[in-house]
Amino acid sequence: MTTPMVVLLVVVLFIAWMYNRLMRLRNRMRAAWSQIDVQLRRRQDLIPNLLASVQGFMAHERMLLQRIAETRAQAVSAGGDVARRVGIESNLDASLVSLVALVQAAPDIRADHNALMLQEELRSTESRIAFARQHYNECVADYNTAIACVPANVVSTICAFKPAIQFFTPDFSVTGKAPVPMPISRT
Amino acid sequence: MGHSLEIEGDDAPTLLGSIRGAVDSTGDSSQTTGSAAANVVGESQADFGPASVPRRSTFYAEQRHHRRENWRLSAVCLVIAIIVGFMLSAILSPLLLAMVVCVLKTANHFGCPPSICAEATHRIDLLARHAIQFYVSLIDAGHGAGAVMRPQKISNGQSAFDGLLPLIPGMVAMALSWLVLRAIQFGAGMVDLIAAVGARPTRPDNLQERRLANIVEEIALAAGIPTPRVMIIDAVDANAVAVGMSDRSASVLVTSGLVDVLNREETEAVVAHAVASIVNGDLTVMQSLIAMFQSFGLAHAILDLPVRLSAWRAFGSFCRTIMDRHLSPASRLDALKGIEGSLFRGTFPVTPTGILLLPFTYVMAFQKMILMIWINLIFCWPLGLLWRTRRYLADSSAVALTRNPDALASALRRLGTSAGVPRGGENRAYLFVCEPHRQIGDTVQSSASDDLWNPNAMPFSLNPPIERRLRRLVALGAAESWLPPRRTPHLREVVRNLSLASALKALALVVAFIVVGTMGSLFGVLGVFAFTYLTTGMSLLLGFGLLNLVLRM
Repeated sequence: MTTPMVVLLVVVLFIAWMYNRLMRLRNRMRAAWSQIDVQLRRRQDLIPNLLASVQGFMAHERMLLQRIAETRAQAVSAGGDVARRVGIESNLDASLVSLVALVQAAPDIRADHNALMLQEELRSTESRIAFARQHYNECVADYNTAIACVPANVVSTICAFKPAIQFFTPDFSVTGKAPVPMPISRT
Repeated sequence: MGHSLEIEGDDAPTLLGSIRGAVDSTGDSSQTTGSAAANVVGESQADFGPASVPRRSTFYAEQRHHRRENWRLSAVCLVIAIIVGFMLSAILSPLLLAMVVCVLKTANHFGCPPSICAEATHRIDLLARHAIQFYVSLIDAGHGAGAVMRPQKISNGQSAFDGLLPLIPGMVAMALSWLVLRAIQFGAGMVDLIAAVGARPTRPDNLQERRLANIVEEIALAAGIPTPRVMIIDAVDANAVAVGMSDRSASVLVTSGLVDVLNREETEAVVAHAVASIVNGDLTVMQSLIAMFQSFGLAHAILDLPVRLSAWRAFGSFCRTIMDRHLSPASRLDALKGIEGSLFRGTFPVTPTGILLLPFTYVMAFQKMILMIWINLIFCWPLGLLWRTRRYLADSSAVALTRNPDALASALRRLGTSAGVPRGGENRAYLFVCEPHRQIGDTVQSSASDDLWNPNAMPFSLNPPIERRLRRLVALGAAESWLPPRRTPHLREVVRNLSLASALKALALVVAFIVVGTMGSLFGVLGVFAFTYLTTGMSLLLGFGLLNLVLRM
């Protein structure tokens, strides 16, 4: 009588442990996703300051500065629309890269303390976005492996843990359209 | 600043060559420059061509490998700790039981129901009788050490369990004191190190320090932990250290020298090493080990109470640490240091009380000696290997975070050439990302030389040499030019160049070395075990004799 009870208890505990593990992995993944969002917003907040500080030095690059300002406005207006955001953010990436290159080439900006600080902030923000993506992708890989492996796949099927998609920077030249990084299954 | 450090892997050999040329032409006057240059590249004068390239690996595989290694070494450390704890509880256990008996008898005197007291005393009496019978029969049955191997031959149907049972109170007491000391260590964090090196917060208006703070935030994002506190140590030595017991209370301390010397990617790599060591819990491991040594020290401080005044002081400050909740972390750590240091003080007390309690002091002196032998001759090897494995693990985790093995290799190369640990951090040099490598036998003169276990006093440095770390980084994908040139020739080249006579001489030397080395280490280990056996036996007989005396009073 007691032996089956003990076996049952062990099985129940094991299933509970597996469920908790999957839950933990999924929450970690969601936190990682929100970090990317936070960093993208940080970049949006930074851009007006950056533009203001380099405007005096780079009057001849008015077009580029204007384009950056417009793209930023689009990104802000896109809000939670993830599919649109990815496309806009990658355009912003490209514009900012060319701005940083121009800033680094201009000798009078290199001497300006505020511009240097802002440049450092911009560079840091780019790294943060990259690292946040890296962390998110690792979390997704861990989570996807965990829900697909035996015997956790039984628990994940019953409790509807769905596989997530990794975040990657869209390459429009190859795919022709933006992918949809809908990362989190709502269960 | 740091012009002499601007040496990249590719041009290092040519630079060394040109400096050597300069030394040759100017003679002795620039000898220092020559040796400095040799230090810069970290090589001796002999050059045996390029080093062999290690087999390529991934950082996932590397991390797995080091984690496994880490578990194995931890298990070895645990076994040794249990042996040492067993040895100590041979004397601690009967004394604890005797104390309980004293308390019971006093309670009985003051009106506690005699049924409870008598029952408990009777139980302890039975336990002591069994134990004494067991040990005496052990001596009778085997005429010495062999008896341990054949416990079934012992008379009266007793088993080894009868002998081990009375030691459990001592083991439990040791384990409890370890937990308490560990909790105190964890609670205090490492405020003493932060204070000793004089770390300060970063200034947000300074571009370089702002950059550093940004880098720490970036790496924390990559590792998925809350951002650690960033602090600057004003020192020219380029180095960094991670401090703190968990990822919530961690700090990363970086010297201003490092901020000046390294570029952004290199700084990122060094910070990633520090953050990786926080995530992997290196400091938790180290503080637990230190707490273990402190619990040995505490046991000895308690046993020394009758013969030594300083034991009372150490014990008193320990009690205050436990009782007083408002004590500052720094004074808590001071109290713990006192306990640590109390172990090897007064090994042979020649005070009047010491002579009066002669058999007891004699056994205690043996206990101290045997503990010293175990720690310094046996324990230090798995411990050192454990810490080195953790350094390699942090290196590979840092590469996993930044995906940039070249930056870490370049940073390590530069850190290895700079002078080393900032002032105030010498006692904890092993915690830093790059510890200046010591030759075998060198010990660092530290202010706290009375620490029970100062890792700097170990016969080797706890951190792996830079060249080996560079090799592992090359295996993880760093450029091969980071590999330092070989310092020793291949065996094949040596053998090919040997004449017959010198070959025979070398062979004889090797054989002699193997024979003498094997015999020596065998006898050494046997000697240590025999000495341990003897001490444990003496402690047991003395302890249970005392317990018997208390019971009969």
